[in-house]
Amino acid sequence: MTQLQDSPRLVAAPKVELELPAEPWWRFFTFSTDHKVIGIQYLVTTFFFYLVGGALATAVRAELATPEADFLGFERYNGAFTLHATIMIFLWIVPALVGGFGNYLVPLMIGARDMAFPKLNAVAFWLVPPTGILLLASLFIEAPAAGWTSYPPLSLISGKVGEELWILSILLAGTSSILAAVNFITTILKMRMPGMKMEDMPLFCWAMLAASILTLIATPVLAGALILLSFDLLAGTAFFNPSGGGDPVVYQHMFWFYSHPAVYIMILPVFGMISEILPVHARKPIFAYKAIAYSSLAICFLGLIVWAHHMFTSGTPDWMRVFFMIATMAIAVPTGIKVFSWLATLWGGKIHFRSAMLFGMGFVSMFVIGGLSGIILASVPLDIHVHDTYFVVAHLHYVLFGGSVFGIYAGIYHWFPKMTGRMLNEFWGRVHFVLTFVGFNICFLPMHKLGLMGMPRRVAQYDPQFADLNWISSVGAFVLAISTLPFLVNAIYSWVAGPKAGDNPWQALTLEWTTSSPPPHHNFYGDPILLTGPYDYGLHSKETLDYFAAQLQTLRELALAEAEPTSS
Amino acid sequence: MSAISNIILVGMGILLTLASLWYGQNHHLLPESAAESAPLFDSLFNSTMTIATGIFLVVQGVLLYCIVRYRKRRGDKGDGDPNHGNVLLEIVWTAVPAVIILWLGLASIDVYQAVYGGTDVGGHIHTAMVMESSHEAEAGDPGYAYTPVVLPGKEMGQPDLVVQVQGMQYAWLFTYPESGLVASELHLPLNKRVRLDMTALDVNHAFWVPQFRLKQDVIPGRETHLEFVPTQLGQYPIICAELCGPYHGVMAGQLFVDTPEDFERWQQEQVLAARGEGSTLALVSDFSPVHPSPRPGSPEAESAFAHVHHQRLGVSPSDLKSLQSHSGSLPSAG
Ligand code: HEM
Ligand SMILES: [Cu+2]
Ligand SMILES: [Cu+2]
Repeated sequence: MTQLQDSPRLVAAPKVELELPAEPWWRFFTFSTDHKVIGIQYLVTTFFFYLVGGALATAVRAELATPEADFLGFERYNGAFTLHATIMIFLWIVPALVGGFGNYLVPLMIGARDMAFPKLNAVAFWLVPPTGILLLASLFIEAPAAGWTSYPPLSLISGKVGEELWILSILLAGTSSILAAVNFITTILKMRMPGMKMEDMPLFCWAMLAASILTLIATPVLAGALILLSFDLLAGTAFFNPSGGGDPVVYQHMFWFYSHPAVYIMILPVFGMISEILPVHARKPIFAYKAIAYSSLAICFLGLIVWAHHMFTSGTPDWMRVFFMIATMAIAVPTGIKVFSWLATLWGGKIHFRSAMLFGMGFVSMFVIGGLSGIILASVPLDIHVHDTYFVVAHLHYVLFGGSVFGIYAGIYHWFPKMTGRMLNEFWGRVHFVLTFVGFNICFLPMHKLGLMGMPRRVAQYDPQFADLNWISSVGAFVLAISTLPFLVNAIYSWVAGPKAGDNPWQALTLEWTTSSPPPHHNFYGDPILLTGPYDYGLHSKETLDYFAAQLQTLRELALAEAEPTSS
Repeated sequence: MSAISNIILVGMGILLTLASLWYGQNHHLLPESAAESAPLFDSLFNSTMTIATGIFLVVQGVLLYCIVRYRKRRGDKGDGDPNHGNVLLEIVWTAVPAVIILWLGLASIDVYQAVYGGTDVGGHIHTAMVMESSHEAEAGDPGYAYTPVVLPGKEMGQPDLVVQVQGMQYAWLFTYPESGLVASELHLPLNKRVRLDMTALDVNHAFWVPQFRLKQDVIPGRETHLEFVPTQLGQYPIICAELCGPYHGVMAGQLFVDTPEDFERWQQEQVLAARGEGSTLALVSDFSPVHPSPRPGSPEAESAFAHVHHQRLGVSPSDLKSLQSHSGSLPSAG
């Protein structure tokens, strides 16, 4: 745990070797190896896919506004929700969090000049656009229609071309995330600035470490499953095809061995970001640093042994159902530790309700609902009733939208000034938050009841008794669709013409705020200095803080002065 | 802490408990229950809802309290009170969820044992080839290992009735091995223990009756099972809960729980009718998309189903029969 210290914990002599600022805008379109450029490339690219995935979601909800399948029709509907889910998971949440925020923040937070393998990093990013192109192409050639889970035998008979495009794009996305994971693990373990122990790292880095370990262990299994599925599809083998003696349930095991950890790959980085954002805007140290850090590792471990809770109705033997139920429920403990620690961080703080904080607190609030419905899903007898119904759709959106998307927005509002050097507009940020929060709950809350009452998921047409709740839900979806507009306009306008941010607009204490906004090419002016612990809010007198600021200023001037001759 | 704030705290605790208890019993989130095990499910669900409501209220309450009480006041430039942790508090909030989880886990195992205990849900994996022959042999001879289940207060033995269920795009077929009757509706006698032996002809499906709180995937190349005792007369939807193709949403069956007399009468009528047609296949022309349907009898309802079965798949009674004898084989890509 970070201790109170009124003297700098470590001062390294500034070593000066700089390339100086003013990098051109088109560097974002190049094979840049700068982790910050790559991070922003990821964020912008994935946001584009979020808009596509959102458009598909709107189409799905438009279909479901009435009981008849009269908007998209049966066949196109299946393509729409399959692509919606695939895009949201593989082209938005995972790459935005790991690739976007992970890349941008990890090296800055641990005082490194870049990731461990910068070229590998660029390769990992440049696998994302082809992934998207393949998937979007399938929209026009033949949409995959077997759901994002792509269970055989359905996936073997519902259209070869669409299915194969889907498999290839997921393989690309998987390759990209394996490369990224190797890079993060190495960077976090080996590239920390001298003197920074693991326990001095910001919690986001712990979360990225846990998420990367999960990625590294789980993704190859998915790749294996998809390659075997490809053989069944194209070469007539029968790994999963029952008509040749294969077992479709084996695919489900392999698929969920990846895809359950995948939800933690999506949510762990968000946990990390929230642990960064709440202390800054509540002006308080994070409560129980160690408990939060180690609970990430506990979640990482438990996350690997719970996959079969997606298969309680798949003819899974009794002992397995019971084992996986208990393991799943156990995850509630480390998750609870995090939630309570966040609440304790807010307790007694001086909370600044900036947009980042609104989304951060919105995240806590919504994630708790997703967690509670998750407990119901963990219990075998309860899950058997609600499995594959709208209850699950409600749960997964409270976790993935209420959790991941709120977290990503919180992160964007928090780090936008650092990334672009400009402030976002607070008023439009609040409008964005209110529309998102209200639309989100109108859209997804009714789905809990729909599922419990008997509405299965993945259907274009449903019993008219469910018409009212579905209509409400669709209205919420349209509000959500509209809610992205204030954000889009705000982000684009502010990036170009927003007020200048300064180095540290939130008076935050982690390392990324000690350099300029945006940071120079190798991140720091000279070697970075660790002056305080990452969460020492309220621990330092005003004099100490002024002393830190003066120190940094001197170092930077020294560095710049020495750099002059080399750059000219 | 002052006496007054203690009283307030205790009062809020009581209110919270009452609110959670009330909502746990009055959430109206479930349809009626119509099978013997359903009340077990409901009581576990209600207890879980009670706990969940409590946790929900505490967490959202604390958040709201923080928003009101700890918002930054105008002109205040300081930081909050820098406490880093509190070991006792951390232990408490690790232990409390752990205990809740332990309780829920044990309660779930209990209900699970009562509902499924001994049902070998998915024990039979066979390749298509094996299945063809074994299926024939099993008809009329429910010869696989089956351990009796004990529901509270009631001794169970062998099921009173075994029905073979076949799922296929996009319909359910029910075979009554004793009479050889094949029907598109599932009729079951009231208060009799039923076992369903289920398999799929093409892709995965899932057999779900929300009023029974039971669901089980129906998988090609594998036999899965469900056991239950219907306890209420009536008509219930059989919903396919596993994505099985574009018309998955209209793959609906009907389940009728009849009095034993009605059940016998229905079975005899069907057998007679089938004899009259020189076929063991009854009711095929009677397929109707009763649930989930647009308006029953509306043109959409008629056409969705007819479209699926006659135009797209060209399924006719004779096709169904031949499909049956090739159970487990996959139709070529479509
Ligand atoms: C923009 C607002 C969103 C709306 C209105 C929306 C709507 C829907 C709907 C109605 C379904 C149900 C499809 C079905 O099962 O029949 C669905 C499925 C799904 N959505 Fe979303 N969604 C939204 C955002 C997201 C986000 C941000 C994610 C993030 C990961 C996401 C991930 C998924 C997944 C994984 C499924 C499961 C699809 C399947 O069953 O195969 N959605 N969504
Ligand atoms: Cu089906
Ligand atoms: Cu289906």
